Amino acid sequence: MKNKNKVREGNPAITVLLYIAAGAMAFITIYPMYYVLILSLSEPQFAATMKVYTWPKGFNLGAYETLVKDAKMWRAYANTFLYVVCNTILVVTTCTLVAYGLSYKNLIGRKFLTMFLLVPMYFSGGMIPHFLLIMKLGLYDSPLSQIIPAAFSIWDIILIRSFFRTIPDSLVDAAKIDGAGVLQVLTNVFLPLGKPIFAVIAVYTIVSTWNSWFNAMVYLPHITWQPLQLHLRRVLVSSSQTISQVMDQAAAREAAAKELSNAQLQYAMIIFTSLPVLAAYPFFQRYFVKGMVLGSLKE
Amino acid sequence: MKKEKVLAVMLAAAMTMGLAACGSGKGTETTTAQTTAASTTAAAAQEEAAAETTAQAEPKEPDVIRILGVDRSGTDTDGRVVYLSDWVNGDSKIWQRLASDLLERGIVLDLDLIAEDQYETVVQTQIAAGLNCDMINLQGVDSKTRLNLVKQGILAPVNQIWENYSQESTKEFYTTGYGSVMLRDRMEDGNVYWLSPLTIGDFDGRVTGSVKGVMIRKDWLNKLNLPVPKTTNELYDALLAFQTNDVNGNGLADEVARAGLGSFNNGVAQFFGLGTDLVCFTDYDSGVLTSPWYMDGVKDYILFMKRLYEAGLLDLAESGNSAKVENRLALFTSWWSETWEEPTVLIPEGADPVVYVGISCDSETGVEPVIPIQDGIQKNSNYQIAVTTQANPEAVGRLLDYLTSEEYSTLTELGIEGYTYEVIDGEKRKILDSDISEVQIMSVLNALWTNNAILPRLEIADRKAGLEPLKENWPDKEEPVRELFENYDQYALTRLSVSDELAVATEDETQRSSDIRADLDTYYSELLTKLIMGQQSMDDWDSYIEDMKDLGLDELIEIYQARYDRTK
Amino acid sequence: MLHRKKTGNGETEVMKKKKYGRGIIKENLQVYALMLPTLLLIFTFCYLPMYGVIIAFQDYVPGAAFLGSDVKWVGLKWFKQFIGGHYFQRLLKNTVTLSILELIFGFTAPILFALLLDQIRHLRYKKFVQTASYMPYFISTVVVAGMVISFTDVNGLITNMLTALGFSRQNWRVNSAAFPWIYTFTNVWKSFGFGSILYCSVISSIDPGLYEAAKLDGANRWQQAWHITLPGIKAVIAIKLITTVGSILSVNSNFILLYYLPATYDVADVIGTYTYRLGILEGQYSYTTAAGVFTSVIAFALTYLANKVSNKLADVGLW
Repeated sequence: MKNKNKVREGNPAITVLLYIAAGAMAFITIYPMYYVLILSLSEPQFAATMKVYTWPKGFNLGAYETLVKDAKMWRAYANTFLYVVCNTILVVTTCTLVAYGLSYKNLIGRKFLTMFLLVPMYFSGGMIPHFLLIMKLGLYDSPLSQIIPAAFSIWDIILIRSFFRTIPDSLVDAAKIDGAGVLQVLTNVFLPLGKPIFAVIAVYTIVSTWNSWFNAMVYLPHITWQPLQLHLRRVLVSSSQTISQVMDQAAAREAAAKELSNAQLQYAMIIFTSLPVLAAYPFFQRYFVKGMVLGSLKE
Repeated sequence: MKKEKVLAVMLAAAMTMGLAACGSGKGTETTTAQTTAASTTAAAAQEEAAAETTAQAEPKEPDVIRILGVDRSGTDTDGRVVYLSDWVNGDSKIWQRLASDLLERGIVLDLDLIAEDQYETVVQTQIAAGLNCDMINLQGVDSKTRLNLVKQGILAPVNQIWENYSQESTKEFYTTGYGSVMLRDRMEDGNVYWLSPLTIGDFDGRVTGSVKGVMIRKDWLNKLNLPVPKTTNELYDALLAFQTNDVNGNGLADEVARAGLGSFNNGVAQFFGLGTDLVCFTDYDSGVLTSPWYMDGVKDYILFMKRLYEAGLLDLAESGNSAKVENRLALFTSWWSETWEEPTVLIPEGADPVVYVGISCDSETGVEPVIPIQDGIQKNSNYQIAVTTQANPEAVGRLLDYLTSEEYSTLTELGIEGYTYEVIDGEKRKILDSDISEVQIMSVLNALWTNNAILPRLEIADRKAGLEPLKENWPDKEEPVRELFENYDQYALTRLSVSDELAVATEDETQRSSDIRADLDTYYSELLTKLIMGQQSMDDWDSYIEDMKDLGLDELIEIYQARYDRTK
Repeated sequence: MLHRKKTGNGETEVMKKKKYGRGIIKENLQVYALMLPTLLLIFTFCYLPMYGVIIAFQDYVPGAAFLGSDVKWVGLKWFKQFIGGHYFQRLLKNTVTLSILELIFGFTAPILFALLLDQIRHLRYKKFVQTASYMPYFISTVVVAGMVISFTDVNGLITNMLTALGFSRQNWRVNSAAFPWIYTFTNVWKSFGFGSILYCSVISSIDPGLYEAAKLDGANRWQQAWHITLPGIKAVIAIKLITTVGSILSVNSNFILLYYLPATYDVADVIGTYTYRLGILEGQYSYTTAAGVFTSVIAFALTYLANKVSNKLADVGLW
């Protein structure tokens, strides 16, 4: 990428300022993660105060020990991996196909289709009808309930489609003159040129699948196939119960015990559960950091 | 061109077929999958136990009772979270004892255990799809839905079960004994549709509830040579003294009191004779309901809180425990006899150990302070269990015999003698140090199958004996509790939870209460907060009361009163 | 599709005739075959359950049938109750205020950040900054709220900084004037990095030749950003803007629920938090659904409108 030297230098002082600004942004976003990290390493009681700003107070790996020994968490981890892989492949495929269809110039019924896509973005039947549907399809209590209903995303279709719009018609026409049919235009023109947006959609899907728990809460009553976030949420939510509102003495006692042991655990879990996604990011990042795509293909 | 078309169609067809295949293929599988997991293994474990005990007994097949309930958890000393399903599927002795006790009565439990955070959702969806169980934990099922379940004939009247299928002693327990408090939940048709957990507090033969009220840092009072505050003015002075003397020694005037601004359920309001909720009893015995807004002490209470607020003595966070852990929480509301708050406070080397003790202060306004207390026979309205009409009433009748037995109560509260508790001088004491996880859990909690789990609780708490360990280790703490328990009759008490005292609301009452509370709750907690913070003026008092009347306060009180009157 | 809209009726007729020849129909069949699986999924999982909306017009109880003889139809009762409610105006005002702040800051921050990143030539540094910016997105709302509560406490990190800047020391959490800013800043901070990914990807696909040509013409970096980069991402900006305008009645109530106190209800209570509190009360399924339908209808209408305007002004739109 040395050839980029020729690009757009300006006033070096402003360049330095821009670098500093970017650094400042990096700091304010990295610090909270660091903050979570040092809380997770501090003694639980200091972690509970949340007033640990620069360096762990005390040093305690107890939370990580608990996590590593937690067989349920590993199982949940594996489930989430499964869902992420399946959903990413499915979403990118299904959305690309529809976006491609919508970019087809002579599409009949386009107006109807866009309405068809738009309405569900705003109106939903709510939890119970969805549940009854899943039940009827036989997906209840099955891992497929996390995959099939999540195999598409209307918003992603719109994004891919708007990206496809930037692809010049001349390329499509040229391909057609060379004898390419509907499928060849897709595989020879749209797929190679769409890589940056596919990378974005992949990242979006990975992250949203990684963070999703609501569908699992409704469709997976037993822990066998539950994803990581539901497990994480279980730890977090039980700890954020306010003891003062608990009306039963024994329940209050239980909540208090959990509150303390969780003070540190919840931070360790955040570190533990976000690392893989953070690690996966650079892999996709290269597709949209380098200016690699259209430049090679001259109009 | 042809080839592509074929390809495209095939691709599409393959994907839709895949979909359909997943759909239909799973159909048969999930019906069976539902009864797997925790449930089958639970049954299996019990059958194993069954093989031993009933080998030579009568060959009659035990009845299976299928329960949809919560996979309740407890934390052991190592900080490990243990679930009821771990007990059921593992080798928990205490669970095995329950299973074999039940088997003797010809009952096997088939459990569908759902994690606590998920339970409400699962129950609501399963109700929509049609329930498939004999008993169900009603956690998260609102009263409107309950009424509907009754109307649809899905829930079975439990009073008819104990009348027709239980032993005489069980019937007595529910009709004239402690269990009769459950009759408050009679519906309009005269039947009771769920079992509530019971806690019967006993102090020298008198039923006595436990106290949840204001507690103050006794070690700080000692450090400054201050007496325990007896009046609200003394309380104010003490709190101020904590700050001005920097009693925690961290160089900041940050010693604060936590008394939630937005509700009356903060202990301090009770010093002014106010009830704990928006609708409350005028006093414990009269049975007349009103609202704190109509009570004599309310203005003085607000002015007192305002004083505290203006002096910077209040902790404004309503939740979270950083102030307590950081050693700057002077006062808060909790259970007077509990000791789990103190160890979480971080104190500097050499400082006196932390002690929070219960206090009650006189407001010196002519209004007697009240002490918020549980009902001596506490019918907890949170963890109720219902029986469905699918269930074999005869088997449930036998189950009720067991659930009302002392055997069950002891097993649930204390566990197994010599394993989780021992008898010293005729008193049952829990074994506190053990390496075994379930013993550790039983040392602080009751068995995991009660409270919010699968079976109703029956706790008979000896309040007097409960004070003994407190006396040994926390004499300062024990004193106000004993004082209160011994002179129970001389104190004005208020109910901790008013709704526990009421009969089940009818459909109309439920709807009206919800409609009213939708805005009234927001209005009053905001008003209370802003009056205390001085953002709204006390001069406009009458208009606030007028607003609340417009929002339906009086109607709400009437509804509550009607519900209370029905318990008589 | 866009230019077709602009052509007069007569012209389209002519074009149609030419267009819908046999080849076109064949191609259309192929295209629809490709789309079919996804469209079926959408129909199944979005449209089939949509009948659930009708409970907004009933007195629904879980366990009861959606359609049947014993269903109590109440017409627009819940809508009237919601719109005529004591707090409706305040809820609307707060929701719109927070959304507008979100629109001003939350919407622009990722764009500005992407443009800033575009100026960073050092690839490693650029990747580092970008990865860092994406991190807060992974901290759960519960923890974010816990952090903000702690930071804005009387002796918290942010309070200390504000005090150093000359503000009086206070618990910022109960300060009504500060709440919208705390809310907006937290939201922007949590999601600007994640939001910028899309823009970065589109910027990366802009033809470098355009920049070279501009440089030859003597354009400086601002001019290049203004005349090449921004137009290059215009379409995506427009689409984002349209959907953001549409979501003006839906603010992040998860964070607010954890952070607000009765002291800040007057600015922090939004439709989402209000319906949440209703949900805790008993049996308000129909009421909350009605509130949801109300916001959906407004959102849909606004999106439609925004799209129309965008099509007119910028020649881009969702459809």
